[in-house]
Amino acid sequence: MNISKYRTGRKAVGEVANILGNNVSVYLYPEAYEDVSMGDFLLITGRKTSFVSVVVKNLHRVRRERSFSLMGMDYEDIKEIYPDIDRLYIYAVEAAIIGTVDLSGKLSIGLGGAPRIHDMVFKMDEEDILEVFRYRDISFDLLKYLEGYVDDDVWVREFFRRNREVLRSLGDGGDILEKLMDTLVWLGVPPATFGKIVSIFIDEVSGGG
Amino acid sequence: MVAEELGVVVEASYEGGFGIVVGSNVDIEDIPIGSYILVSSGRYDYLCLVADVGYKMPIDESLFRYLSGEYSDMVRRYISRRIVNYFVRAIPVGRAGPEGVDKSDTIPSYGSKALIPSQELLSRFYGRFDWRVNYPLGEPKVIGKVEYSIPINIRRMIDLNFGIFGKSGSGKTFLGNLIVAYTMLYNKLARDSDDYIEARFLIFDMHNEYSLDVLDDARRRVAGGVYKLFPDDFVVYTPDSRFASEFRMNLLPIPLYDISSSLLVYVLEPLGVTRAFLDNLSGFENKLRKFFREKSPFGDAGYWVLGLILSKNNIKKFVELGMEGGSHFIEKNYISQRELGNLVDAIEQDIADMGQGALQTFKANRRRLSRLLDMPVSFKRIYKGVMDTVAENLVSRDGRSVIISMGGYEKNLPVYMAIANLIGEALWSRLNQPDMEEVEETNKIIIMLEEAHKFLGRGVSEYSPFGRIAREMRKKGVVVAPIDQKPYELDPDVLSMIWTYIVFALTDDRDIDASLTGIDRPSLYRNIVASLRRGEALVYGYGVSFPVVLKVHDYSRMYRELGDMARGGGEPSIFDDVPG
Repeated sequence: MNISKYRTGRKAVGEVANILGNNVSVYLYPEAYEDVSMGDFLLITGRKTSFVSVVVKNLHRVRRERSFSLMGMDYEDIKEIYPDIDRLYIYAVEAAIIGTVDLSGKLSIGLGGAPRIHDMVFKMDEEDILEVFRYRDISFDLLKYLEGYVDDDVWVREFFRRNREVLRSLGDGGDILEKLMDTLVWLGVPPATFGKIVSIFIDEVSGGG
Repeated sequence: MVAEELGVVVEASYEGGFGIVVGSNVDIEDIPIGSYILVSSGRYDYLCLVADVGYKMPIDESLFRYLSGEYSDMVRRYISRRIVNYFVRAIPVGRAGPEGVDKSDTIPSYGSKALIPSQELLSRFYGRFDWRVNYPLGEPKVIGKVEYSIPINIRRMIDLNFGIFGKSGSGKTFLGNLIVAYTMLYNKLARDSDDYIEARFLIFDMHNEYSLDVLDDARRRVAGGVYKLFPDDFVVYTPDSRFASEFRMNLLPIPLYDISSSLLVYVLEPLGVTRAFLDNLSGFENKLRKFFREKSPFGDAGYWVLGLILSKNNIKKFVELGMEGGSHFIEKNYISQRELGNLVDAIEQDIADMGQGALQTFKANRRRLSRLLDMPVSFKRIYKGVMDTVAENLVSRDGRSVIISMGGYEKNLPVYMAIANLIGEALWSRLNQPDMEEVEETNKIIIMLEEAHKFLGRGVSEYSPFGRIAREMRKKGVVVAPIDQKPYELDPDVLSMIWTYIVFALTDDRDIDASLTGIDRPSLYRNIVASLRRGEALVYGYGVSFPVVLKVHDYSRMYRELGDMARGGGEPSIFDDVPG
């Protein structure tokens, strides 16, 4: 995976603001807020190791000593009254780390070290996401590090929807579904969860949608 | 695709058998109920029968409602292959270890491997046939195929009562012929064995399939009956005069001349006469014997039963029967129609002396008694001792086996029951004669009794001659072999006296339970009996080393070669590939 292309030619969407075990809080730049959503792949570029993560929560924070007041106006009108309103609030996401990329660009699915505060965060290209799914042939090994979210219908649906095109480009729908089910069996997800994930996958990826 | 290794034992108890999780490379559809598997703990080899197979679907079925056909099939296949835990419940029938082969009183350790048993292992448990004492009974039910035939020890089997049970068309008659043929071969080929004992059969052949031909469901001939294989070893009787002349059988009518009322009960009960009539029968006998001796043109008390049957309505038929050329009914032209008419009135007057109640009973049952005229009855003196002749054939030194071929009466239960009970009574009497007191067990008489529950049923066997024989004549070498499709209706005491059970498919729960009376942990075998296919049987007890599920060898395929063997030829070639 080519990390330097992000550092040199891309605009970061945010920075690491907090580290919570295997999850990180990423504060987003206001202009990037609407570009990042649940299920997106984010690359956190570190000095030696970069981290592949997946957005698991959308958050928003209020700056210290600032309270929220109802305004009853369009955002643009509010901006005229409070030109710095974008700086009064923090838009953030929580992302779960699912892999690392070393200096040579080698991807490993799994955990290894942790990013630092203020490490730059980029949205990943489709070709790099494809590499994550093609890790060891075709696999959903990343889900092993997202175990806490696979029983959340909304997250699962968003994850498949946001990555639909990448998943479709992996190959035959049946083969991919089988790989997904292999991972779910490995994870030992409860029967009901298994059924939900499979049906959502078919709905969002293998099916017509 | 059948794998050698089927799975591993994950649960076991002596009472409940072994629980085996099937390996993911094994197709559950390759494992039929009743087939053999081997559980190897490393220390012992447990030979087991598959009592149950199954799985639990761990995924909510509603999932498939949302899937399109293409993916629904694919997901189902995946779940079937990767997620579902297929299990087998197995019953241990025996255990092999360094000290030999025996019943299993231990259980295998956790994780023991379940395998497909080899022919060598099966023969270690069941032995091999030798065409002398041990004969090939059938192919064991296995996963895949094995060239091995389970032997049955004829000497042991005929030593004690054995039973053949199964619903209609399951294979009882094929097996019956096979066992009789094997026993006849044993008589010829095992004479020099240490504990040789000569066996004779009394076969009640309801459907003429031992005496003539074995038929398939469409009533087509598939092989000759065992009589045709061993014609010199049998004497065949039939109540059907047409059969007697066409097939050169000995005529065996129901002999009514001079019959005692105690024996006549066996003839009348199946006709549905009332209890009151039977209670009065002894009185009617006394009255009618005196009447026929003193007041009738017969001048012979032996015709007293005529007095029970005759009515104004059947005189014409009576005369016609007597007039028939070659009739076995009564001596020809004995009396005229007019004389018989006078007799009816006179008999009623005589019976009236017993009281109005007796007369009413007498008249009320005469219509039922008229049915005797449609049965193969005889008032001829020469048949008076015919049942004793049958019995003598079985016990005398130069006698032979006997087949009672029902001929055209194959569906006439009253005729069958009358003849069987009269023969049973004659045999009982003969066995109780003084010269039989010191009888040694050098001979066996094996009574093959179809529709056995009619003779050995609950509330019946206590009084029937076969019930008495089954209970008391084992010491005199008599073996009763009930053949029945309703074992539940047999007296439990009779069932408990059976030592070798051959059980074909049964469906009624009570029949299944009854057929498993003699087996250890019967509940484990219920599924097996219910799932047997045509020709398959569960065999257990004295005649086989361990319980076995097998497909009985096809008698019709062996028929010709068994015949050659009976005439001194070689062993049947269909077993050339099977190690003996």
